[in-house]
Amino acid sequence: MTLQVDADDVAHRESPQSVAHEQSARRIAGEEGLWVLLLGDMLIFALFFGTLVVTRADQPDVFHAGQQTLHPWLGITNTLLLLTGSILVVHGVRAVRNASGRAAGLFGGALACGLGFAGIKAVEYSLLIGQGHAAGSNDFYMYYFIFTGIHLAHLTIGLVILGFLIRLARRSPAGQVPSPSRVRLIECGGCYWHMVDLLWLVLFPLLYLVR
Amino acid sequence: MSVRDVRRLDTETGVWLILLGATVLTAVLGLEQAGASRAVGLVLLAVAFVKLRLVGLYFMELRTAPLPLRLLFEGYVAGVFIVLAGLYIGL
Repeated sequence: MTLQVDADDVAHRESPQSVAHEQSARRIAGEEGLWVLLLGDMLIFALFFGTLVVTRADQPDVFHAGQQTLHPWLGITNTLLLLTGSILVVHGVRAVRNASGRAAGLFGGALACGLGFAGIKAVEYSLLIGQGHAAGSNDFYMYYFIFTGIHLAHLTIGLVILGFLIRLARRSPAGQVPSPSRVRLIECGGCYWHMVDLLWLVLFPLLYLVR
Repeated sequence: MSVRDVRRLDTETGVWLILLGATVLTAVLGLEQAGASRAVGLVLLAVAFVKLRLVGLYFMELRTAPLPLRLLFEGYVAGVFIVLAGLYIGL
């Protein structure tokens, strides 16, 4: 508790210029430990990507037929939503650093994008299941539901994190630069959200577009 | 907000616009293709990894990260793309 108060006191004495100078040096956004988690998760998804390419080569007709039943424009809309959520988080993190007081609203916009993604995904799932395509139908649908489901689970965790970031941002009114530890915490949340976006950028074309 | 901050915001917004444009263009390319073209598939895969790299470098701030972390990320992008492209062409 004492340490936290000291850190906040230091932050209050720091000018925005000194913070900006510190940020101009080479530095890790967030914490080192977070990057172990992010890169580990990215490696696991790389195995998913490889599985899709190999299985497609084994069963090209099954994959092609499966792709024809997907709803690509829903997938494209979801990609645009995630990218937009990501840029809002970028601006949100900047707003925290600059103490502009706009961070909570920007993180809220990203949360809305994420909720939109989840809603569209639910519509896609229900359309597919309504057409009689379930995870057990064949290998294409099995991988489609498993990989997009795991990605959706990551997104759901991201939504909770965004809710946490909104709460943290509201505690830092305009003109008051948060403590460095709080900024790093917010950066960690932001980087996690970007990873959710980044993984979808490869999963989407592999499932929907690449023949 | 300093002039430098404004410039940085503009860079990232520019990257976002590029990502949106690339998403729509590659989606149209992917949906318009007649039959299974390996070349189109490879282009779609390559663009996806360029987009992934842009998100990492500009949104996750790896462009200004310490070199070992930057290299780990660049290695991931290049390594996974080469393996996937190799599998896609070779199998």
